[in-house]
Amino acid sequence: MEREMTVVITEESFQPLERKQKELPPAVMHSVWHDIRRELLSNKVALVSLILLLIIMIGALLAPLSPYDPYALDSSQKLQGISAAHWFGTDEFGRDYFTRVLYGGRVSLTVGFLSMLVTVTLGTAIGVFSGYAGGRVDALLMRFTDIFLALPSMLLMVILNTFLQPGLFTLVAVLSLFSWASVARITRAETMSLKERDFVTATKNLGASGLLIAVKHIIPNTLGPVIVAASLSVANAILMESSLSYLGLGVQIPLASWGSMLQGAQSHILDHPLLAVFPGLMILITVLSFNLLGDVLRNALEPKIVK
Amino acid sequence: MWKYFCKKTIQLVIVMILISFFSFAIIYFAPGDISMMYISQEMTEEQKANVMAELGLDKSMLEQYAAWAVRALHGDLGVSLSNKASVLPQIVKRLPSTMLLMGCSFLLSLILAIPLGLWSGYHKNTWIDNLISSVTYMGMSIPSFWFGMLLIILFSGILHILPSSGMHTVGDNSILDTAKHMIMPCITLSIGNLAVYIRYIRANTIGQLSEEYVLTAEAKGTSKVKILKNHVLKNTLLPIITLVGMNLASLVCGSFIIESVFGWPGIGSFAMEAIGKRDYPIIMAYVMMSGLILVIGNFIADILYAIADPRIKRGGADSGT
Amino acid sequence: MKKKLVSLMLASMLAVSMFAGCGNSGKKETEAAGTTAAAGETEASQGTEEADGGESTFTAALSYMPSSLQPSAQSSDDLVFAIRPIYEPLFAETADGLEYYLADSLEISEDGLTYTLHINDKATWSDGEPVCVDDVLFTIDYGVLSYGGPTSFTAINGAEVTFNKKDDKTLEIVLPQVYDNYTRTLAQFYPMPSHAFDNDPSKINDSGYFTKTDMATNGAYTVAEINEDSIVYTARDDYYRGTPSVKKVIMKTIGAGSTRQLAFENGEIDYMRITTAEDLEKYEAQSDKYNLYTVSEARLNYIQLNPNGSVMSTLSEDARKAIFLALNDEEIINFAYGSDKLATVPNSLLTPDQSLYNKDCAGYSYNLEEAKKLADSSGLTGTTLTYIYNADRSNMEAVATVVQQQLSAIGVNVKIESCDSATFFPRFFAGKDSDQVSTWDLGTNGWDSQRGSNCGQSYSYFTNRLCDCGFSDELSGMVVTAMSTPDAAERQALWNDIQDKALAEYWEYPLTYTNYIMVSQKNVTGLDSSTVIPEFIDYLAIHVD
Repeated sequence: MEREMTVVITEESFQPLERKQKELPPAVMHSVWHDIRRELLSNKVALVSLILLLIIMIGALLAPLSPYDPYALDSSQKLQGISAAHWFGTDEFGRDYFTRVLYGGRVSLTVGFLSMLVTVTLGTAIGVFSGYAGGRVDALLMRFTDIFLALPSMLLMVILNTFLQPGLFTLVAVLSLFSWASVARITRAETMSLKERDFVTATKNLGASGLLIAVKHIIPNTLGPVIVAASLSVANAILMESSLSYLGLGVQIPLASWGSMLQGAQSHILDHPLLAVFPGLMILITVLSFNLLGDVLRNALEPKIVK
Repeated sequence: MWKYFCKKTIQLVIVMILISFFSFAIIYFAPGDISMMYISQEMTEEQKANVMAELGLDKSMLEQYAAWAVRALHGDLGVSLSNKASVLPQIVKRLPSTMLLMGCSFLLSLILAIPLGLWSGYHKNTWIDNLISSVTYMGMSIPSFWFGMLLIILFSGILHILPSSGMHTVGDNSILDTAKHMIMPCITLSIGNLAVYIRYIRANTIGQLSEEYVLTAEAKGTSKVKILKNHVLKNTLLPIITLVGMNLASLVCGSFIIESVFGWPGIGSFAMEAIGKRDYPIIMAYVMMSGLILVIGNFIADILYAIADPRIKRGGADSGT
Repeated sequence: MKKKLVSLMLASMLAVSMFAGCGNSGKKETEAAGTTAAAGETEASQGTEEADGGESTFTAALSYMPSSLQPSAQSSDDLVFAIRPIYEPLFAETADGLEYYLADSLEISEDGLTYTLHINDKATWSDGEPVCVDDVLFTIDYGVLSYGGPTSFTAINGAEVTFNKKDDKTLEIVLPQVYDNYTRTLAQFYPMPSHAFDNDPSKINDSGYFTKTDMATNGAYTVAEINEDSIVYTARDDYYRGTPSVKKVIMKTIGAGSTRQLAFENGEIDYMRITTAEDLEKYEAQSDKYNLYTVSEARLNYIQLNPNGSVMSTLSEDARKAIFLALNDEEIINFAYGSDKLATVPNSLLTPDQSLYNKDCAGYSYNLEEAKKLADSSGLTGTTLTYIYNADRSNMEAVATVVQQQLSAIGVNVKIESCDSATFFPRFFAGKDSDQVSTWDLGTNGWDSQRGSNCGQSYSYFTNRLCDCGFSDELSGMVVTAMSTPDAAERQALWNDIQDKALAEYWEYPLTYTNYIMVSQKNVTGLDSSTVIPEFIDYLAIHVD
């Protein structure tokens, strides 16, 4: 850690100030992406998770290539077992379950990624602003963040979702509303340490505006922790979404996420347990992979942590 | 120390006020008019206005909140819309079952996490560590209700050795019977926290093992087990106190869903029912109660940590993180 | 300082390790013992039930533990079900007419204004006090008090109902105007013991009376235990209608859907409701282990087109016709119910359980070709309609799924919104001036307990009284005339016309006549003795051998 810092600082202090402004962000970006790539390729667990996620995502993307319509009903094919024609069998409406699972993945992953985007954007904005502004604004914002961290979020999500019209965007909004706080905490801490660093002070002395500094220097440098938080946030969103859907607060039929498929499978679970097994496994694999990736990335990007 | 204590107490009060305001706001802005519950088609306009006035619904949001908060402070959380009885005793009646479930699953996760975490940290990067780690990751990534469903199918449906739901067999009030009912919900509820604790203890153990005092002890010929027990464990337990405080949220929220899956008669399933009926006073009371459990849990953790860690006692370090 | 810290740490460590030690071993023991005990217990419980003979027990499942057993707080079917063993109605409306409980007669004067209710002379509370008119009046007063105004018992269209106490057991009720639904209103009436509250209804709410086991009951049972997750009722020997053969009734909370089925198959509960054809087949095949009961729900499930819906209000009658012709009801039932034992195709907006039902009414018939033509010509094709359904009602989600598919065949997009009961009803029955009224175009609902001469529900729909159902003034006029036609044949003829005309206006599509099917353990009989929903009223009829 210390060693790296010294390297950066020496490099800076020996270069003309105008040049630094142009070069520094790409250099930092490069090193982050470089670290990530190196770690992903060298770590077997990460590689496997990545491949699994890619398979699931490609499967979800290519779902329309399936010969079956995910919504068309067929009374002659109700609750069929596993066969060559129906890899995962069929559901109570005679719909091909494999196709349904692929389409379910689209919904679950969309919810996961969208709420990750909102969470990370909101969290970073608040965190960087709070950290950079400091003083009273910071104290106030952090108390606010603490409260969001202390809320029984799942419970409030259920209540909010019951009152709002359930649907994909409600889900994303509600999920993000209760997850930005941890991202804000991380980015704030990062900003606090960055803003004391020489290169930021130097830029400031050159008359750069706060916004410019935040956008050009601080945010790119918080990228590492934010990427980790993003990966974990996708995992968390998918998990939360499945719980909400299980309570009947998810997307509207005939759309289905993996979570709402589990809810649908509930009434058949004794005699057709496979209907509950497949979507559950998909959630498990996806969330597991994102969690693993997040941790591997953390190890790569935060050298402090013992490997 | 006193200063720290006071600071934390003020913080606790502020958080509670905000949580209460939050829960009030949810209900206040909820679609549908609360007065609909009280007003019938047969009423005249005048009668309707009277009901509104009686319920205080003709006042502004802040006035309504203040009135509600004052009553709440006196222990009056209102009257249930569905059965017209006071809310507080109904919640208090169900609290012990929830506390029992939460307490047991908390203990279970802690009891399992300490040896597993130490062991896996000690045998870092061996197959045993990898095994424990992968189980940990599974625990973090599995939807708890799904895990509960699988347990029910396995233990009640296929093996017939555990009751599928409830807390007692009627006519059998033994602890054994309750314990039997509690096994599955308890495991389901603890799995998430267990994973978090194990990871934390493992990381700490690894950190501690590379400290100089461990090397010294090793050099002196102290056995590894002794080092683990006498030195590492001690230093690992401290941060766990904070972790416990932070993870209370997942216990509270977890019990909300798990209780419904297993038909456990606690405040979680009670709240779920109230949400279905839009029984606002009960929903508000439940949010307040969960918030209170959480905040007090965090508060106790903070204080304990402060007592145990002299650095904070002097009032310096930034709290929370 | 340091020493202190170390000792503190050691102490806490010790405490935790002790906890750990005890907890661990304790847990293991419990688990091991639990397993063997469970194995033993299943055998034992079977044994005791046979041995006891007379002491039979009937166990039923509840979704939620009621927070109070107050009979007037019937906020859910579950609660009504839970109080029936201990609190009885005055009478119940069944397919065969009135079934009397606490009351033994209800006479309605010829002008339909005076109802004379007589309470069974033998009916007593479990503390020995007789059930009397005061209890009825007390309960009515309580309703007014807690409602903050007149209730459906005390006012009809704003005009007051008069109650005259003739003697302790006779009550005369005078209505301000003819209101044939008043019988139904009275059937939902469960008296509470006035003597327990010194005849002061304001004492009820905070008394906690209905949460304690010593509450006075008027049904066949008294409350023996109220546990965290179960209620135990024991039979009264001074019950006015006889002595129940089932000595103990247990209601216990069981988790959702499949958990209940599991509990039933494991013998933890004695019966459950069946809502899918797969389950029905499964239990039919094991008739040596289970008994099946079918009770007509006297329910009509229907699709309502909302005349005020944001899109529906712009569409013509031809468009509505196109929608109804595009629906294939047999297919809907096949998917959503899977068996004609659970639901059948209706032919009218009245149910076969109603005396005025016309079995020759033609219903709608599926005609995709014509539906397509009409959809094209009326501009229906390409529109998006919002469909709401009540997710708390069984099979409604499946119906929505199928309807969506069928309407897509004529180029109509259906946007489905699922609601729980608390959101559904205010939307579905939104008044004309409500801002919710335009938020949906079509939706499903059901009218239950449409039995005997009762046509109150149909009356309120055809005359758009409850909410705007779109029916014409002409149809409303016919219904009003029919209601005041004394001659039976003439009345029937009018109602036959009404049933045809209602269908010809294309506002309500009859979806299903449904049956309530239950499966019980083999040793349980008599669950279908009273045809009421929620199930069971007459606990004397239930036997567990």
